[in-house]
Amino acid sequence: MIRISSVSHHYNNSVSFNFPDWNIGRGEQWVLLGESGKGKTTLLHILIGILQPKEGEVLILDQSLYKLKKRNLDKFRGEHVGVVLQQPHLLKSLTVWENLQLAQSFSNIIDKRRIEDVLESVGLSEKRRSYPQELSQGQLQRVSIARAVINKPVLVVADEPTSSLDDRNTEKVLTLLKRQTELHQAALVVATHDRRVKEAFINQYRIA
Amino acid sequence: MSWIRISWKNLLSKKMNFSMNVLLVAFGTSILTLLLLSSEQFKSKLSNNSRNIDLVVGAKGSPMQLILSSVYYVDFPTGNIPLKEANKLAAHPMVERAVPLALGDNYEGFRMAGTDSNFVILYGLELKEGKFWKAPFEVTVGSEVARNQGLQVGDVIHGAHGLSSSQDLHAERGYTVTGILKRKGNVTDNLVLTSVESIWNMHGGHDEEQDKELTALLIKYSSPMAVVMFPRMVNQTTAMQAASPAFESARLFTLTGIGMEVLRWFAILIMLIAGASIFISLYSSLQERKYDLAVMRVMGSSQEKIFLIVMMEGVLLTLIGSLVGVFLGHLSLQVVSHYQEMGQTRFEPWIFMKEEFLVLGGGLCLGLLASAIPAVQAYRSDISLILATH
Repeated sequence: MIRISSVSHHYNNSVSFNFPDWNIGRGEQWVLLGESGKGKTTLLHILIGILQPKEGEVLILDQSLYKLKKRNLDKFRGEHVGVVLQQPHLLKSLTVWENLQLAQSFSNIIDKRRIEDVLESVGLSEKRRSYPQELSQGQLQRVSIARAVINKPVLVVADEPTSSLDDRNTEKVLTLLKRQTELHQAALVVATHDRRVKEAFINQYRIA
Repeated sequence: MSWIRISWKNLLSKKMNFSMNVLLVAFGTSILTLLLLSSEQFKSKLSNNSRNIDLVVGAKGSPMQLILSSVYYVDFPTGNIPLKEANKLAAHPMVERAVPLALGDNYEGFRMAGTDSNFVILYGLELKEGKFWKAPFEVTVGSEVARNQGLQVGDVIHGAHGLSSSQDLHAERGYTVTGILKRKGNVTDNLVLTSVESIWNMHGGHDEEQDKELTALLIKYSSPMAVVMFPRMVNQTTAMQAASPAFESARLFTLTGIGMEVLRWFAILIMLIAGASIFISLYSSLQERKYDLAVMRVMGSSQEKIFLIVMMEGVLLTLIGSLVGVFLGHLSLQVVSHYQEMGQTRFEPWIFMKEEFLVLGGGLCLGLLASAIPAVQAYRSDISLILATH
């Protein structure tokens, strides 16, 4: 379903990254491991279609990402890829509900029921009218996960989602990520160097 | 969720910044609107009041003063002219119509004009009720005079000597209101019309024909040739002066136009400052929001949408500011017209002109210009780099 083949990238006057080929099946859950500076974030950005590799190909649902026109690539990403960032960044001028609605709107979806369901499943129904600044760090990360799965993507990518969380919240966030992706048979890729996360995944992709 | 709503919510999240920018734009736009309305109405009132009057003949002095006093009723007359001399001019073959004017009294700040039925023809006056003055000490009052003083047909009023003060009252003899004029939107709305004889009788000492005087004669030519010959003839062969309302009005507008031009540039300067302020606030907020915009791109927003969101913020700011400014411009004119002297034709504050769309359009262009650079920068931003370095 998702394939990375012969992908390499380099920044100007910098070291180059060569990434091993990688096949991710529907509903599979992977952890992406590697030390700092080895290209974890670069590979994630390539995988979600925001950084075109110098060489190689990324296929999602048999669609070669970088053969799409820019506009179509944006639309494809909105529809099929969900992203959870290290800092659960929400738009401060919008409520929790509107942040989720915004993610839908970029894919031309209007589905209030879906927003209600997802908010319920992450346990934040009562916070729908709250603004991000009124939420705790753990709640923000839950909204961020809800936003990543709102459009029922085939791939959810999380970049260091637990780096700022304690053990209890780390476990909660991982459980939530796994459960939410399982619900729609979405593949999950979590990039981390957090040992607590590493132990929670069977499938490991390592960048040397 | 539409990109307009996203822009709107973002603007509202910084209320102080939003209010200051709207106020700046509104301030500039309101001055421009006020200038536009007042100068256009001023110009139109000048031409409306002097329509059908080719020449004014009065006592020697300043020609502009003669026009201001005898056509616009805003200045003191230059003096009087002998009736005998005026009659000679009125009978001249180049004159189609000559309207006598005898000024000098007022009623509660409204000027009284002694004249004859030619005045009615000159301004195309119509009665709302009653009849026109005929006998001495009968008056027909303008619509604004009647409204302001609550006059009815049959009321008796007392004039006062002078053009605005009520102190030197002619208490010995009153005028009977015989009619009220329909509103014309010119100086006649603010006049009290009576016969020339009434003015003479009120002031006495005009029993002999050679003692009788007029303030001015409003003349309409019978032939285009008179434009050149008649004023020269009056100025060179009589002790009177001839002044052209068209020429003096144009001169007056040029003189007042200098002040208006200065104000116009002042307003444009404020608009430019508003534009710079919007640019700075959008640009600095872009630095704060670049991660927001990158996150939106990750969620599937196209570059074009990001561009439009930033552009729309500038456009919304200036559109709201311009609309508020246009409203404030009208409101300011309402205040100005409230404090205008009673005897003059007032500005109409709630008349809307199509040129106001130009003011709104100018405001929108300012918004587009101010937000263009931040929007292009947002469009071009490298989201991978922003996310990696945040």
